[in-house]
Amino acid sequence: MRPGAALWMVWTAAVTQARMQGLNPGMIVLGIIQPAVFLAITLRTAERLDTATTQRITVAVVLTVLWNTTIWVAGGILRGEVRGGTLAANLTGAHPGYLILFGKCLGALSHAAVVIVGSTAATLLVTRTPVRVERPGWALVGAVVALLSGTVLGTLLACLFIRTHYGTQLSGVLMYPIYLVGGMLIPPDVLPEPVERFSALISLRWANAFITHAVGGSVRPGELTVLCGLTLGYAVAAVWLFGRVTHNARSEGRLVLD
Amino acid sequence: MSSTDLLGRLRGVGRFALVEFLTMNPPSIVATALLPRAVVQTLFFTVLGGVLSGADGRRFAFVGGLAMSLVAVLIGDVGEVPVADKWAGTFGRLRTGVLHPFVLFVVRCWPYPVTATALTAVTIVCVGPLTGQSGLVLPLLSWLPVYLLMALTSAATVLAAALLALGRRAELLATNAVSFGILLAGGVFLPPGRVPVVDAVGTVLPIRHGLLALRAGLDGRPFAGELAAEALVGAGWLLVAFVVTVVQARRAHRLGIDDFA
Repeated sequence: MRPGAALWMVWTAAVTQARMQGLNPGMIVLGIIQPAVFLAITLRTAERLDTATTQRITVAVVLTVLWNTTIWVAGGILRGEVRGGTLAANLTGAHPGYLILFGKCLGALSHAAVVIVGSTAATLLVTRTPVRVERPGWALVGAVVALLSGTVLGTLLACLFIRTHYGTQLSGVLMYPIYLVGGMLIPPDVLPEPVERFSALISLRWANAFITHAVGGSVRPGELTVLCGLTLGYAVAAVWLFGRVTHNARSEGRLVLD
Repeated sequence: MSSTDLLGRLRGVGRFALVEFLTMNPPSIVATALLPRAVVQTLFFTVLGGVLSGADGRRFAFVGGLAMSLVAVLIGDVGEVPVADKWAGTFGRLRTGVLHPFVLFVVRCWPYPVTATALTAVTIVCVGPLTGQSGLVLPLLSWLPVYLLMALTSAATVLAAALLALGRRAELLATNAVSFGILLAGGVFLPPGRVPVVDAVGTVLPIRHGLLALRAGLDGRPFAGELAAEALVGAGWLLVAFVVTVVQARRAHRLGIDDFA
């Protein structure tokens, strides 16, 4: 397969998913209401609200909400394909089916990220909370890699959730553990040591650290390297799991071909 | 209809509610999904409260986070009660039944607040020691009836929100708006008195008065007034749910359409 064709397919899948998503009620809840409420309660509860704390909380809220969106939106894409009867067509096409899934997750999360950042900016404006971004270029690099990492995670979750009828309940279960140990709103150093070690395996922790430092004015390439490495690891796992899931689906005749 | 007949019918609806609940949440899912979520969600809010405002913040967030875990159980499933009838096209049958559709909706909701309160009891026992607040475990368990009251008032609010939005297919937005409204203005995490507009909104939402009563009780202060206010808020939202159901049923009868279409 030519790389150009693969990229075109990912792009088409991403645009299709973003258009399908629009500003539906779920997106209003996840992308608009949620960051606004999280920002309001954390900023107004913090004892000392200096510049560094405001920067840290803002970045952490955006990434926390992005994780939530990954679970609820990207994680459900494969389920949606089954419901809509389009999974069989994706799997029997000329190109690998996981590229379509990846493209759709990318479209879903890119669209959500724009909405989340917009809502966050509006909340900061309304509450008159200034946030200065010292190294905007590096902060943007971190944000793009964080988005790609979220996309790969979404692909991985979509493959997991397709195996159960209780995907919604499992989505709910997965939300808070990552809130707790993902190193975003709760700094990893307040966690017990074994949990802190586990949190080092979560890419969002490194995304949060890198972006927060870039917003504060320092660039730490080591954090970016770990973030990229973990994302690559997730991608390998996602491709493997997608192969397993589709193989099982084929052998059990559950491709919704009727 | 005799009272024996009425009781029999209500018992039948109650049994159906249990079947409906267990279909969506079999015991394995309650144990592996709902319970861990309640525990970890409360743990998250409690630790975050400590990170942002020290030991006092941790205690405040623990008591409030438990109430938020109630809401998390109720939001999806109580809202689903009328939604299920809409999608199954069974509203017409409910309208022509002996029991009023509002009674059916209310009775069908019973397993959710009960389960939510039971999960809260387990969460108190798990999260208290994990966050260094073992001393709060027994006092909070003794206040479990107040958590049950908050679960009931929240269920009434979620039901009313779902019924209000059902016609516009916006029940997901409405029920989640209730959830985030409670998180923002319910005194769950953000102490009352910080943002006046938020305080004003909170007075008509469930949880806020219940938590004020509970915190007053834990501190040995009078709490009956706030407890009554919480019950009143729940009754108010139940009245909203009743009015919406009656209006929709009459509209459907007059126009010859399915309810909430």
